Amino acid sequence: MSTESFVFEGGAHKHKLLVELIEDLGGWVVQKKILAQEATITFTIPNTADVPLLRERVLELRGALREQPLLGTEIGVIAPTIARHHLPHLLCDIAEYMRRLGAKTNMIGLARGVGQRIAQITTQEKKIIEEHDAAIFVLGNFEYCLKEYKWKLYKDITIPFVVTGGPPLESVPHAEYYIGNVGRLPYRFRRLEEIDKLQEIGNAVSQCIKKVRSFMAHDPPMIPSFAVKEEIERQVNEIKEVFSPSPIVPKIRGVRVKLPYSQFREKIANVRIGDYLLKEIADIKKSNFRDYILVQLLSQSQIHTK
Amino acid sequence: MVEKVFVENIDRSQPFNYGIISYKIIADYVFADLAVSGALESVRILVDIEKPFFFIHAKIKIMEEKIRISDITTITLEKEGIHITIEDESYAPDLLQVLWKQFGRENVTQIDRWNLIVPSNLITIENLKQIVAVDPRDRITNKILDAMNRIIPEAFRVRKTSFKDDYITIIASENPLEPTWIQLAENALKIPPLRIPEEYLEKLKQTPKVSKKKIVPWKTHEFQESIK
Repeated sequence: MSTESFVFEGGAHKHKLLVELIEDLGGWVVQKKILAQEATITFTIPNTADVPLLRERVLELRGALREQPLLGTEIGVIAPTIARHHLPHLLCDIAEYMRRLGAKTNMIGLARGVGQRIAQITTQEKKIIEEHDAAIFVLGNFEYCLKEYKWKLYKDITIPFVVTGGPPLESVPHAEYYIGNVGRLPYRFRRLEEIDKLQEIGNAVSQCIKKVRSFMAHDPPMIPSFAVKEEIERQVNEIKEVFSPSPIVPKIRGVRVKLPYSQFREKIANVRIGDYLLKEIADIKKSNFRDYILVQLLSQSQIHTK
Repeated sequence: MVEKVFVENIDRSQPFNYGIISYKIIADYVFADLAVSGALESVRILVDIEKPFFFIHAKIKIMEEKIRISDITTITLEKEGIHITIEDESYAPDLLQVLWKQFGRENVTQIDRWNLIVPSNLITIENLKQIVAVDPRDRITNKILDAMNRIIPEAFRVRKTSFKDDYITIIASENPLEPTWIQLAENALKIPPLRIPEEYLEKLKQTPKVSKKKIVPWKTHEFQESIK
């Protein structure tokens, strides 16, 4: 059993039939936007076997369905620095494409990631990167640099990551996934073969995510992060006053709530989910991002031992 | 079109690796973006990525004439001093800089945006007319230096820039510069430049290509039916 995520686009007329089906299948509607006659519904269902049923309903409604393999994940797109040598073209293209696959992306520029001998990454940066579910390191054009020096940046990262670079190599040291022909380039990606390259990166990242999910399935958390998100939205009214585009960021194992840690820790910890309080089934920590709250769901075995 | 920009690997055993080809593309884009291609006669970029250093050697050619004060102003002798009326306002900041440098700020009186007065005991009208207000060489040189900064990888912060006749030379590295590297690069300059063949560049150039792949947008009904 594995979850499947989709985005539906079609007429708003009778879209409630689809929402009902999703609810019957035990899924979650993550986002529902109705603009004039058009409906965009992002949702996830718990069982792959139900997908044909879903497709049939979508065809009935004359709408369209697209898979969102990265829905509910947060991905960091990392460049050596934020100078114009590395930004904006490539990094924006990659980040935007990941967003289209359903992920929430953060673009991160390291402080001193450039060069060969002088390339370095700080502990704080590592912590920030490791708060994501997966990372993409966007590196440069020279084979010598990639093979000899650049692995310093990602060698100790514990989350799954993909490395992209210019030369078409089979692999680079210390990295599981390497995508070539995506180096420092002075233009946006427009041609078909370039879009295919982005899709290749997307596939590599979704493989990473799949591995994490299948590993987690052996000892899953009590409830998925979408349910936690829904409950926090229902019980903490202050979240409606946060102006960020996504006040609660769902991740594979937990959520990040964009409220100040010092003021709202207790309130978030005491959110009631079924028979439990959130603090009983999750660790509530201070996020490495500003002053936000990080909720990390415990697996079922951890809850029993707590 | 005559090729102006050459990117070469100092190690001639691997003349056309991915790094060299991509930096040729980057250099072409940067020079086109900053509109300095017209002012360049030739540029040679020599790369040694293992030491590592970037060596850029550019020959500039200036087509424009120097602009003198008489070209952009009308000058008359009045009771209170020499009266300068600015005709072309786009050069006004440069003109003011020159006058301030020559006579000091206290001696240049600005009546309004277009009118200036300089004391007549400091200079004669004939000499004033001959002063160079704008040197196109300075403007172009600054632009070319900016272009080079954009091309050279960001890590290469140890730089040495030199100007000689019509040539601008920059050597940049992330390690302390060694005199042997400059010697190495200058020896490489004596060999005629190596042009990157078009078939290598075509892979990275963003030119339209014919594709036979048929694409059906995912929002269409037939696409949804096809994956049912």
